[in-house]
Amino acid sequence: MPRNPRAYRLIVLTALLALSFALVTVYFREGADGSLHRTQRWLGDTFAPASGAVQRAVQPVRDAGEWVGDVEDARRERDRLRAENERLRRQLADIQSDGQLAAELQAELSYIRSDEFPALGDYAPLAAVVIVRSPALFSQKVLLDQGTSAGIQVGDPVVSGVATDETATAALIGRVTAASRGTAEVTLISDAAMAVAAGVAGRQAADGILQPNAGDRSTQVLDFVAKVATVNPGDLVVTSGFGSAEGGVQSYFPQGIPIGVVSFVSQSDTESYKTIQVTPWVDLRSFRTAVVLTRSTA
Amino acid sequence: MTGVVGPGAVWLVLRATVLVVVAALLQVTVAADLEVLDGRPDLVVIAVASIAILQGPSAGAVAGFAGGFLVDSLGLGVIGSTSLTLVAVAYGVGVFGEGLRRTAAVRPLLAIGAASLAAGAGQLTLALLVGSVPQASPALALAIVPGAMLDVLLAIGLYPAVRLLLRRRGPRTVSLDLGAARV
Repeated sequence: MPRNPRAYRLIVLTALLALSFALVTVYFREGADGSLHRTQRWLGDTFAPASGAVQRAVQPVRDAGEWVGDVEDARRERDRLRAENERLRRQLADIQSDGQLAAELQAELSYIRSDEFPALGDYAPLAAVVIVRSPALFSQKVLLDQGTSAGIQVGDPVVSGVATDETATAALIGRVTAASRGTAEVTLISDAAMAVAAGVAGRQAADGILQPNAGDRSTQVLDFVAKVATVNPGDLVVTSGFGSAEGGVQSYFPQGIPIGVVSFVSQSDTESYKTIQVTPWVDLRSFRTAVVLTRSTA
Repeated sequence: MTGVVGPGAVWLVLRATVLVVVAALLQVTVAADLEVLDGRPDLVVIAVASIAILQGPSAGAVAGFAGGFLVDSLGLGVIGSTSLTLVAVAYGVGVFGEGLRRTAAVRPLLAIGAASLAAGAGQLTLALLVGSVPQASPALALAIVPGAMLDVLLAIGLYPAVRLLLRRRGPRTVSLDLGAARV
């Protein structure tokens, strides 16, 4: 052994490195039956019981670790499935909603084109979907997804309806008060700024002006109906569609479009006209589709 | 071993041997399929580096050779390849450890982390040379880092334990102050 410890340890290092290198070389050069491979197998056999004991000893810890991992995996899977479930629900809801909208529009259009609906004359029905509903308290407006590019003009009457499997009805809901290329703003008949020339269908001298009921937003008031007119609850109220012979002053709405039914009638000696309350057919707070009666000529 | 003289040396060697054997056994049975934060701990590197720091480069090199031989033998690797790496790494760590106080706490951990990185790099190089890994890639090199970090974390607990296991048990020097007379 050299006296210089530094030299001694360098010799140890060199010897061990050389031995390791020799082992690698021999291991590669010898076959599977070589001494190193046999030694490897022998060591494996010798340590097998110890390895087994260690495996058994740590198995509970490993199981606990795997359990934690499995729980974590299960949680991730659960979260992923929840998210996917939510996405699929939304997709399904969208599809169902789109399908229902399409069915409603189809039914409304069919009804409007049928003989039951008043003759449209120069008007052509155009289906649209409500995309925005005004949140303002005193403004009753909606925005439709069709605009001037589809032929809509300011002033066009707008109807909507409630379609069931058996029947479809459509009634006036308002008129277009502004339009852009892709959208149209509709002011509803429940807006304080709106007034519609209307009358009770089939009754003589029962024409008046339909206005929002200040006390009840779900109903309308048909004002200026003469006391001599006979009006009963349940009577149908339609647009009167007046127009002067010269074509100067003209109602925005064609004649005969249904609006609603009379729900209350009264009159008193002190009043000049009848008090007629009208309940619109269409729930003006919740309709989702509309049909714009576009005019072929301006 | 360097600096160890007397009958305590046999026990020291025995304890170190047991440490290396247990580390190798745990490495091939438990740690080999234990993956934490994309890293795999190397208990043999921790044990060998700890021995090298505490007992010097020669002892570390011998422990590295033995540990590597056992890991290759039990883990069905190419016998000698891990030894080749661990001998060099342990020697380097041992030289570094000579400058450390025995009670040092942080530097040994850094040395073990560096040893883990060096051992990983060495094994990757050897694997490339013998064709076990077909092609070098940055991802392969970076895969060494989490393991080294894990080794440092484990060494926080294991290094003091190894230091306790390998402490020298020499005769105690007792000094009694009996007034003017010192015995």
